[in-house]
Amino acid sequence: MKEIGELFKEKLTDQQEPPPLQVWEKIAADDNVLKYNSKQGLQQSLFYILPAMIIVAIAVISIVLLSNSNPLKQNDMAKITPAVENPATPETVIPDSISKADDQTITSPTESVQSVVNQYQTETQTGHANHLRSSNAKPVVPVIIMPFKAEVSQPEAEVSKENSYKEIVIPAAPSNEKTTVKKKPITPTPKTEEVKSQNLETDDVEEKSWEIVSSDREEVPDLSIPDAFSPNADGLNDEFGVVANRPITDFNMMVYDRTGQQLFQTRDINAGWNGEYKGQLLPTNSYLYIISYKNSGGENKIQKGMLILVR
Amino acid sequence: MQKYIFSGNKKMENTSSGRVKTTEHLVNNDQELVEGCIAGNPKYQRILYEEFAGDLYFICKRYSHSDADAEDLLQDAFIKIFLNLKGFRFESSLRHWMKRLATNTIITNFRTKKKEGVKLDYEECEQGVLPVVEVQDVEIPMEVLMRMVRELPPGYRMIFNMREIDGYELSEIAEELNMNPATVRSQLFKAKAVLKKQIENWLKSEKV
Repeated sequence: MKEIGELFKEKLTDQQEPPPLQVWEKIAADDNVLKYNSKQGLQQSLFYILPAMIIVAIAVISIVLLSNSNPLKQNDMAKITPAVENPATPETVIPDSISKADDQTITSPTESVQSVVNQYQTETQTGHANHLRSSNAKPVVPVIIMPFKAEVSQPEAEVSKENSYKEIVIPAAPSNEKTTVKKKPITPTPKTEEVKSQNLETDDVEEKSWEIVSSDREEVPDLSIPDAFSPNADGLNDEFGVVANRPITDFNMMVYDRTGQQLFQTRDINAGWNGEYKGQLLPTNSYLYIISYKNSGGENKIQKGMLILVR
Repeated sequence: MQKYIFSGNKKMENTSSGRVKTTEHLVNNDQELVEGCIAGNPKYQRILYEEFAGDLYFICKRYSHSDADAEDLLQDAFIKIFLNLKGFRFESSLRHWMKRLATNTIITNFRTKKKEGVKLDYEECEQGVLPVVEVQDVEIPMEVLMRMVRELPPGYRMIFNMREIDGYELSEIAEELNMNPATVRSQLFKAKAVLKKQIENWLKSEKV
């Protein structure tokens, strides 16, 4: 007796078998593989230059974008700085920019600005102006936030508009008839705001799911084509053939191998391919089929695909 | 240092008559061959292929069900070899390095196929030593054994080849194929059971 692995290892280690000629032809046809090394200089330089160019382009674009956004900030700063330097009229300048923002955000910044202004006044009086200049960021912070707040509040308003719009739209759907709804998006026709109930919404959903099922049922293909067959004369799937689900005419089926050699051709829908070519049994492999026919509507149709021969 | 004498040699005579005969050429060692290929000399590239394609094709055949798949694997392996020749450090023999690279190509290919949905049996068996599967010690032709291995289901074939013929450790296989070690063990055992049945059937058919 012998361990089964050893039995196989003895026979199947370090063996050789010459491969078919076409493998080398395929490798040799790949220019990138064999000429790769001679072209290397050019390819390598391209390899580095392309990313470098992309990085430079990104850098240029970002610089342009930044320089565009900078003036805005500078304008904001310009609005503020006089306010700080002229402590006599701070309220007249700041509330203008704040007034767009929410009530809550207004209070705290103005307070802080006010306090900073007060601090500034007291500190200039005591002669600590240099120290404050270094901490200039303080008065800027609250006001820089404000323009952002104002921008953010706008989209919020839009969202709320959309919401109110949706509330009107949804109940309108059930009013459409089933026949018109078919496969078309429900056209929103705004109605009165009174109609608002969850029951109506669920009805809408049910209708949609019913549509999907029905459309799937309609799409039974003209032909049922198998993807594999096993010609080993065991009475199961010994031939490759198709089954027509609807009446068709002008049927033509061709089978090719991977190199494009035609192996089989028939115009009889009941005929099948037995996996032979010129009396020779073909090996396990994938093959291609092309089937053309005329459907019941008189349209010419072509179906292509892969089939696997299993032995 | 190994010498490759390249002419219309024995290996080529065995093959189909359509093979193109290359002119006689002598390569002294691995280094000359590799450097010639890196320099883009078509003669050396052809020699590299002719010298090693047989070994690699046999490996590819062991790991695949159909010849067409084996050819695809061989092509992938050689493309990888030509692109990676620069990385060969002459630490092992060229033949060993190329076989290893081919095996790795096959493993990578299997992993991507697994992602695409080649179905594997994920049944696990309990931890422990693998039961030994023994068969009668008889002379069985290589072609018959080869056919048996190639007819195994994809997962079984992969693991049996890696463990029993290429000598990977079970833990290595589990890591390479991204599988549970217990799964690998059970699949290996099942593969052996299938092969044992095949051998018994073959012995019966031979006696009759």
